[in-house]
Order: sequence, then structure tokens, then C-alpha cells
Amino acid sequence: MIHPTDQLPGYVAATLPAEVADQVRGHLVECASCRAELAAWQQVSAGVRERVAAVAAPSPALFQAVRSRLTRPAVARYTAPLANAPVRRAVGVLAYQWRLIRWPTWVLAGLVLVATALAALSPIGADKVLATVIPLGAAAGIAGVCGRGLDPAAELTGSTPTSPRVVLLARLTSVLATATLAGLALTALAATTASAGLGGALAITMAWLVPLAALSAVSFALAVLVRPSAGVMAAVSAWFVRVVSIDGANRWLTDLVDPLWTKAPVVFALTAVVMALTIFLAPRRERFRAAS
Amino acid sequence: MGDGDLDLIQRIAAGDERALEHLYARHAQSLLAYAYHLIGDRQAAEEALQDTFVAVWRGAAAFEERSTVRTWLFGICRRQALLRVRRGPAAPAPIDEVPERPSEAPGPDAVVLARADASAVAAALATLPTIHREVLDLVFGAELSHAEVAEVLGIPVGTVKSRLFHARAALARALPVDVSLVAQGSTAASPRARSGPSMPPEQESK
Repeated sequence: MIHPTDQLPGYVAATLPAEVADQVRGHLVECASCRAELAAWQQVSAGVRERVAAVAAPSPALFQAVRSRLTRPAVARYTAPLANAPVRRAVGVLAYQWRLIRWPTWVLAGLVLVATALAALSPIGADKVLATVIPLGAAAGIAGVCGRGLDPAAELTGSTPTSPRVVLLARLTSVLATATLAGLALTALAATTASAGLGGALAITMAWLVPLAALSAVSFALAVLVRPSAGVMAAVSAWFVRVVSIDGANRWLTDLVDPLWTKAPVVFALTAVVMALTIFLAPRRERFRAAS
Repeated sequence: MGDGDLDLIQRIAAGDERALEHLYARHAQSLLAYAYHLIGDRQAAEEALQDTFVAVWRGAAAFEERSTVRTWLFGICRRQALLRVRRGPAAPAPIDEVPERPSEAPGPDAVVLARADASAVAAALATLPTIHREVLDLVFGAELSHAEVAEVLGIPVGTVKSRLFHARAALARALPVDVSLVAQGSTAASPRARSGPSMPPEQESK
């Protein structure tokens, strides 16, 4: 017959499922050998329980010590109301993003700006030069500042009351504002030098403002949702296709990217939609990454 | 007990300190005893207990219900306790001094144990190697099922069963007994000898 030898310790500790315990109980009635085994396990159990009982219960002070060490769960959502003065807070958030840019970037941007100014004053034409340089600079800047995984303090900022979306928006705004101000300054310089008047200045502005929006949107979406290099590569690809096809040698290529430089209403509308959608999705993307 | 524990863990995950206190009230005593017997030092055991509940507070949200809450608690407590054991790694299970379990007649260690009283058994337990004492502590002290003990120790269920019998045999040998009874189980009385008849170190017993 089969002795429930292995079940006896569990039977003594009362950790067996009820039906198994019933079977064991039934067997014990008719099996002296197993009853002797059971008696031995009961002695072991009594010894163990005596040792457990000999350990004095933890003092209440012990839990107080635990309580004093409790921190809120990591990266808890900030729920308290924010202070007043929303404008001041917005300016503060915006201003703090500038600290992320290191000095080599500023030097490089300054050099590019000077070179662009010189080229814009040359016979090439300010509109072509600015339409070539400014969108690419902005797209690279956006990928570098807003790109996913680039923020060394992301975990820390994640626990602050400022939403990650606000931070992202502030960084996007910073780069776009810088690029636009640089473009406007260079446009003013070129238009004044050539005595082009307000109409001429407006034409030059539209020449770079439309591709600025288009490439920024592409770079922003890919850099935030995929990775920074994807944003840069996509922007550079579109830019490159435009540059090599500008002489009209490859008609279909030109047709492909030309709208990004010329169709102002469509580009502006799509840019707004893509950027808004990216800002909406960004924190979800981060959470997904943290969970996976 | 289990359902209530799960509810408490969910409340702890939501940041409810009172739920942590309830969980502590339910399990602190047995966890402390377990840690104390692993470490052998009251203060270190209390530290391990504290760290266990701080870890529960931080990790409650990550509890995946793959084990019972009590198993999870003992698993955390074991890790915290072993961090404080300064005697180095646990000695491997003695492999040669284990008697075959008789299928019919009660073994010699059963006879020895049945005659001992609880205090003598408790005293003998203190002399056992950790690997043997721990499995007895978890089965009879913490009252975990064999499957739960297997999870806490990270070993197969079959190993838990065989380790229990090894532990009982070792316990019987540690008891002061008549020479005549020991003579019956001569294999049980043989000293640790690695060159002895080969036997699987932890026989799987189903």
C-alpha cells in the first residue's frame, strides 16, 4: 500500500489542501507505521514552535522605525496644487531649458549664423541661402534638445510637479523661437542691404519659414517618439533631396519634397497637428519604455 | 489569510501606511523568528525585519501574484537576513549521513524523536546546520506549504521533501539518545564521510 509519508509534515503543519488532509487522516487510522512517523513529525513541529515562541515579539518601536523610513513610492505623481503666478512659472520653465545647451553648441550656432549672413548677402540670394540653412539647423537643434533619452535628469524631472509635456513644449519653443529670431534677423539684414522693401522681406521670410516648420515637425516627432538620430536623419534626407533636385534634374524627387518648402498653409497646419500629437504621446511613450 | 494579504498589498501599493501596519501585525512575529534563527542575532534580525517591510512598501506595486503574499514576505526576509549572516555561505548539505527512509517500519530517528520532549528537540535544533534547520523553520514555524517553501528557497518541491527527511534524521542524531536505539540505525550514526556509499545528495521523493 502507498504510505503518505511525504504528506505527513504538511499534515502536522496544517498546510495541506483539505481533501489531501482527509486522505491522510483516513490512512492514519489504519496504519500504525505512519502514526509513528506522524508522532515524530509532531515532536519536530513542537520543537520548532517552541523555538519560535521563545523569540520575543517585535516591540512597537520597531514598526515606528519602519514608518520613519517610508518614502513615498518612487516618482509619485505630484498632486498638491501648484503655486500661483502661472506666467512667471512658464517663463521660469522656459528659461531653465537654456541651461541644457552647452557652450560649444552656442559657438557653433554663432559661426553658422555669421556664415549664413555672409552667404545671404552674396549674389546667391538670401531666400535660397536661408531656406537651406535655417530649417536644417532648427531640425538638428530640436532633435538634440527634445530627443528621447537625452535628458540626464529625466527621472528627477519626472517626479517634479511640472509635467513632462510642459518641459517638452518649452524645449520645442526655445529652439523654434531661436531659429525664427535668427531667420528674421538675417532676413531683415538681407532685405535692408538689397533695399527689397517689406514685400521682398516677406517673400524671403516665407522661403525659410515653411521648410523650417516642415523639417522641425518631422524631426520633433521622430526624435521624441523614436530616437534623436531618426529625427535628424529624416530631416537631413528631406533636405538633401531638396538640395540635389533643385536644378530640376530629378522631377519626381522634386515633386516629392517640394511641397515641404512651398505649400505654406498645408505645411503650417500639418506641423501644428504633428507637434501637438507628439507632445500628447510623449509621456505615454516614456511610460511604455519604462514598463517594457 | 491569503485574500486579506493581497488586499493589503494593493492598498500598500496605493500608499496606505495603515495597510502596511496591518500586514506587519500579521506576519512580523513569524518573520522575526525566522530571521533570528537564520542570523542568530536579535538586533540584526530586527534590522532584517525592518528592511523587509521597507522593501514591501517600495515593491508592493511590483507584486505580481505569482506567489502568495506570505511566500513573498519570507523570500524578501530571507534575502535581508542572509545579507547579515557573517559566517559566510551556508555549508553544503551533508550528503553521506542520510539514511534511507524505510517504507514500512518507522525509522530509527522517528523512534528517537517520539521519545524526546519539545525542549530537547528545540535545543537540538539549535545545533543543526542552517540548511536543515531552515526547512524545518519554514514548514513548521512559518507554516508554509512545501510548494511555498520551494519558492522561498529557490529549490524544487522534491528537494524540499527530501531535505525535510534529511533534517529530521540530523535532528534525531543531535538528540541525546540511548546507544541501543542508535545502533539500530547504524547508517544514521555514521560520521560525515565523503567516501561512504554514494547516495544522491537530495533524493527526489514524490
